[in-house]
Amino acid sequence: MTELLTRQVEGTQVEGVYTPTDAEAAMVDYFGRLASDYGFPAGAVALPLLKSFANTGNVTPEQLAYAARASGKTANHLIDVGTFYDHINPAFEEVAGDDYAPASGTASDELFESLGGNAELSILQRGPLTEHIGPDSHKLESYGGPNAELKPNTRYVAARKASGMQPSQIIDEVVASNLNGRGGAEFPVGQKWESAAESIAKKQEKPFLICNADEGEPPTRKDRLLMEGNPHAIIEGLVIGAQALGAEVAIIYIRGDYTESIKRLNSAIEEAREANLLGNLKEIVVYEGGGSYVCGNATALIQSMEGNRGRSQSTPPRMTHQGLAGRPTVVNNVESWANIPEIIKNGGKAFSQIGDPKHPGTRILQVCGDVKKPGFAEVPTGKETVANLITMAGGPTGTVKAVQVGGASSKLLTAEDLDTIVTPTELQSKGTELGSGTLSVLSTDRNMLRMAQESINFYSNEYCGNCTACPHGIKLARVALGRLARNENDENTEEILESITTRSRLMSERLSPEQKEAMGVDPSREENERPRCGLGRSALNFTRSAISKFPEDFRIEGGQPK
Amino acid sequence: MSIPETCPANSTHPDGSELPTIIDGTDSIFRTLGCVGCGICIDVCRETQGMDNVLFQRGRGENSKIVFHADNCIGCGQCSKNCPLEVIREVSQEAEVNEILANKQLHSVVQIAPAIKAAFVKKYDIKPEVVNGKQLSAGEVANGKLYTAMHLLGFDTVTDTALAADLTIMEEGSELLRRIVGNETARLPLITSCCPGWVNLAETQLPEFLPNFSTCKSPQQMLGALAKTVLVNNSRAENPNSPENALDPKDIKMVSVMPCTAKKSEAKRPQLIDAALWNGESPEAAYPDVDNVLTTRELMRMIDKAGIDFASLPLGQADPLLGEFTGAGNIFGATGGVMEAAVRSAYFLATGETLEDIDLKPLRGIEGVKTASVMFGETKVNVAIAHGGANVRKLLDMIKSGEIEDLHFVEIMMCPGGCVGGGGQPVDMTGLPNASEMGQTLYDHDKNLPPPKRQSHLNEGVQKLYTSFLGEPGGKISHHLLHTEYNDRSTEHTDKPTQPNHVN
Repeated sequence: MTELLTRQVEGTQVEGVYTPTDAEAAMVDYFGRLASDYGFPAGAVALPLLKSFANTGNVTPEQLAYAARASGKTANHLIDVGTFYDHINPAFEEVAGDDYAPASGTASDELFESLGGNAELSILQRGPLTEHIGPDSHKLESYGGPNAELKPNTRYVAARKASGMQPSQIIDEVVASNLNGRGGAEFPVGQKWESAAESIAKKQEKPFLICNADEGEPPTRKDRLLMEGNPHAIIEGLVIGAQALGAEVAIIYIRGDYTESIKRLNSAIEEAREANLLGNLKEIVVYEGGGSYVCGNATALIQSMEGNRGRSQSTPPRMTHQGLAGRPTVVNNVESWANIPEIIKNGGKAFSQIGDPKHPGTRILQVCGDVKKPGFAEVPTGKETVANLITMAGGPTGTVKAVQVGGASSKLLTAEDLDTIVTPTELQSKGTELGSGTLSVLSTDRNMLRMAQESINFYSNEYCGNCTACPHGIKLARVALGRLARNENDENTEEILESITTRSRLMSERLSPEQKEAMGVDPSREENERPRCGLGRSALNFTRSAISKFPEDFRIEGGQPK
Repeated sequence: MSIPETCPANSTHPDGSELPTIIDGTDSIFRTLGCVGCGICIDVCRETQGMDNVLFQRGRGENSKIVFHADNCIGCGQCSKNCPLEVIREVSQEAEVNEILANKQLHSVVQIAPAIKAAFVKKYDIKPEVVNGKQLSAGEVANGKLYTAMHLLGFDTVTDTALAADLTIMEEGSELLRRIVGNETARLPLITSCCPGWVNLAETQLPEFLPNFSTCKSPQQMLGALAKTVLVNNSRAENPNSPENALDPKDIKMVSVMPCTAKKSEAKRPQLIDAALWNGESPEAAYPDVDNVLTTRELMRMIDKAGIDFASLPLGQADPLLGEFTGAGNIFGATGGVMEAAVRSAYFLATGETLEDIDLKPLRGIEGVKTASVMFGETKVNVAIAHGGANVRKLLDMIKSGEIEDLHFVEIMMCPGGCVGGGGQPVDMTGLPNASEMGQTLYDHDKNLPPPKRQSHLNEGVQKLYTSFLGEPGGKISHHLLHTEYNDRSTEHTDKPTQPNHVN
């Protein structure tokens, strides 16, 4: 204790003792118990504590000393951690002193706004996951829809079925369903579970299940829709996952500013616990993020939960082998977990026959931007065209110039391609992807240079910097676009655009050293390596596709966009 | 394709041809413009080296900044070895050394540390060879080639730091025995003082351990002091009738090649001017015992620039006076090596007998903290070894808390794997596996030598130095030239460390 009191933070002598609030003391107890009983990382308490401190004003050295002791981190490290997260960064200005670096600003909000994520979003078409969403649908008594025969404690129909199955049978059903991850990468969920089961057996360790609810991809809000409207489907999915993999603890890592979702998830977990529906699961931890897009990447998310800056890491080791606290860890998106009960209820085979056989099931698509009635449509994959979806959303507000399918990190579909069917294979053939399942409709009054700048501003605030490609490439693009927008060096426009395209290829494609040399870059330089996570690999996607599809927007005459 | 000039990597070409803008630094390292904030230096500094008060990263994305608190830096240089863009580098003394080599007035002396040999084996993929009917280990081959390379670069006298390591064993071993059997028990355990990163750490941030320090200089500094005395004496003896032809100690320039960046700051320590004082200079006019320190990286660059085809060089010789070493002195470069060498000789000094098996395997290996006990006749001697700053803190905490008791001798190396994993080693040889591979090179070199060539007290060169000049270990002359003081500098130091309780 005396050591703690003489601890110095950035040269400031810490003399006082911090008395935690009741909530903070409870937090420390809770995470302490998770650590001792279930092997949770000791550092996990750091972010919740820092958030709690920041809520009441400037963080003090005494508070840091307290958090350092609770989390096993050092006070200095915690300042680095605190300033990483937008939501709490300003509270660290005083304690960081001269070293302070301000929060990343409003670029993320601006991009959400610009792409239509902040509009009021209604439900345009319902499917199995959204069927019953309504004012009270988050409650256990309404889960699964109106059915007087179902008592609350019998509403986890699929979990009950799963409890009578062998773990391997559950995994087999998920494999048979061909469910692809709904977070954007389309990785087969069953394959993930299988590989986790292998590691669990080999390492003889209890796994962690993580529901990735750090929905950060502008302008996507579909996970929020599920968490607010159908939280029990997510919880039931986790319960089934725990049955299949032998997990005792599941974590919902949630975007920190989804306050309503957090509230409803917590109360839904309580309801399920009281109704004795949690099965194997001893705890479901709702872990609030700090406002950082890169934490949506699983490796960064793990870092964040371990009390570090949320920097993405190289894989392997795969999460399923060595994730949170070194244990096998299964990270799936909210919508992926919510689909699990559907698969168990009707069988994997039935699920695999819904929609596009390569990417079966329904998808919650968000149609927003320049449309009259933005909202969500849960549709079987491979059925609807982009044009149909725009019609569902009340039609465009102007003339459609392009649609950004898949969120901020994906490429553009031009107005000529509106008859493309919304399914990953079809979209890939048009050079884009389904990603997080949003369609941002952009009308002809949008200038692509401006939009590219908004996009790049977003990425330049969000990259973690753990590999050198992002700081290098994103900054290059930001500076280059700035010059074009200010109409500087316009005789070099072609060269500047070319340099962005080259950078984008380096960041997104797997290129051989020979290919890199042919592009005029030095393959031995670190910044010419492909980034290790999706943020970096896709950061310049939008800009590159905007340049190639709307070149006229980038060639400004007389200092003003045409 | 042209990159806009604001591109951060433009200013960071690692060939050293242009000096980019320096942001901050110390005597040992500096950071240039072009740092993109990947934070790898912070991971190494905090997690491997256990230093939580040197490097910081505030903010995120383009707004983020890496903050360097040079005051707290101990100069270990792990950041410079691990920086992927090489924007953190050693303070290069290549130019100064080239000036020395070009100046024919001066007599240039170079010393090579053992870990350098291992790095050259790795870089040039040197294999064991049979030379003149003798089977040589890869380390011995690289050693011989290095001597030749040094002559080709233009050094007048080539010496070997491993000789000074043997000398350190004689001095430190007798110091240990004095503390064990003498009345100095209060200052047990004896802690090694040959790692300058560790000296910097203890002097500025952990002064409570200074009373335990061995008063021995590091091998680099012992050899510096000897070169400027022994070589002068020798030259005077060779020119009895024309003293004007004898070497003037002021003209001797000692350049050392080290796997270490902190050695650069060590050479600048104000108290390390003993040769000059011995030669009658006033403290104000005194020259340093070691003039310049090059890292392994700098030496490799110099060899490349000179167009020397290292791999094909013939094997050369070191100076007969200051070049003879044993395998024991050579394993100083690996973690546990100092301890092993010391035990081999201290056992003899204490019991008058030679250890039956001089391969002390329990002292080897890459485990972060190792402890062992050796029976010196009736006396049980307990030793501990730690390498890598985080492990060092762990061991010191255990000593402080009483978790480990009755220790007699502690070897501390700040870099993971010991000097072979030093911060001045090549940037493509990072990480413990590489260090451990290079450590093995040194052990193989030792193993390949006949037993008399594997124990410091049997080093004929060292014995000759004692009989002809130094007297006896711990004697008056050795005390003057081979020992020094370690002082509490913590009061000059405003920015104290926080407790590194995240270290594991």
